Amino acid sequence: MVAIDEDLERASVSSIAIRSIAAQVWESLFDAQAVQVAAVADNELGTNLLTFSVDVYGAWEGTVSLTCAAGVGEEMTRRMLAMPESDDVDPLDLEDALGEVVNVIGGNVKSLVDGCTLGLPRVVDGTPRSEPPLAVLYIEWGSSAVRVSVHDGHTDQQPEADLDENLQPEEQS
Amino acid sequence: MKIVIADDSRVMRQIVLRTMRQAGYVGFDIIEACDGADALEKIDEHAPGLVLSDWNMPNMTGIDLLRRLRGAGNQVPFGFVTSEGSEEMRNTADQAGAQFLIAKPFSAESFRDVLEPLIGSAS
Repeated sequence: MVAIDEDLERASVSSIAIRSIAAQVWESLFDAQAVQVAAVADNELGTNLLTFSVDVYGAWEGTVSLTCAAGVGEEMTRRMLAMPESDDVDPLDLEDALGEVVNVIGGNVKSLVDGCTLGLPRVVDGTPRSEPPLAVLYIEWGSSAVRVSVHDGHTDQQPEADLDENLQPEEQS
Repeated sequence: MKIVIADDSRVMRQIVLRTMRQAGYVGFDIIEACDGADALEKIDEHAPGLVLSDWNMPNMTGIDLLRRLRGAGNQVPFGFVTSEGSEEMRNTADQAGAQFLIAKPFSAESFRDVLEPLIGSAS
């Protein structure tokens, strides 16, 4: 663990680094500023929370995650694909879009530490990591927020989320 | 001119295309490929003037696609658009015969900077 901690210290896998990466990602993929807001409790992030994660392997091992309400995920997907607000979002497009967002953030976190590789993005229901993250930030999205977090080490994978179920209108769920 | 955009993410192919348009590169015949193997087939079929490729893709990675092309004597201008832009990857891309590597997240300016020497100024 000492070597990993030293790697992290050198690499500055910190909230400052994550904020810088998120700012670039928001500008490039959403054509928007990443406005950081104060910490938001899980139950205030919205209903039907989804967490998109990608694992980093090698000199440093950890996980980069993005958590948001399913409705926010749909809005993010529409923005990325320049879709009208009235259009329904295909669950496959949502998985593709937010998987790509976390993949780009993960790729940039990975590049902070030499000798690492990146896994494939996955999506699970809710918020899979209860332990405190190494770095976390909340980015405003409409009246809600998106959480970007970085955790040290990996965890057992939870079953993948059923996006068809999560994207159902609330009154039907 | 034909341009092949290879990425296993449909969303990212759309964003690459949109960013090219924002950079002023419009009016090209765009051919999308969902992985390296698909791209290889489409490059053989369409003989594009430029290939923009992701690095990590199923079936055939971007670097394997490039090596296959160069091994077969195909010198089509080839650039990576990837989320992992480490110095090691840039060196690997360069040694395999890539003209450039754009790291995600990217801007219209970053496209303009690398495309202008290859396909000229944007319209």
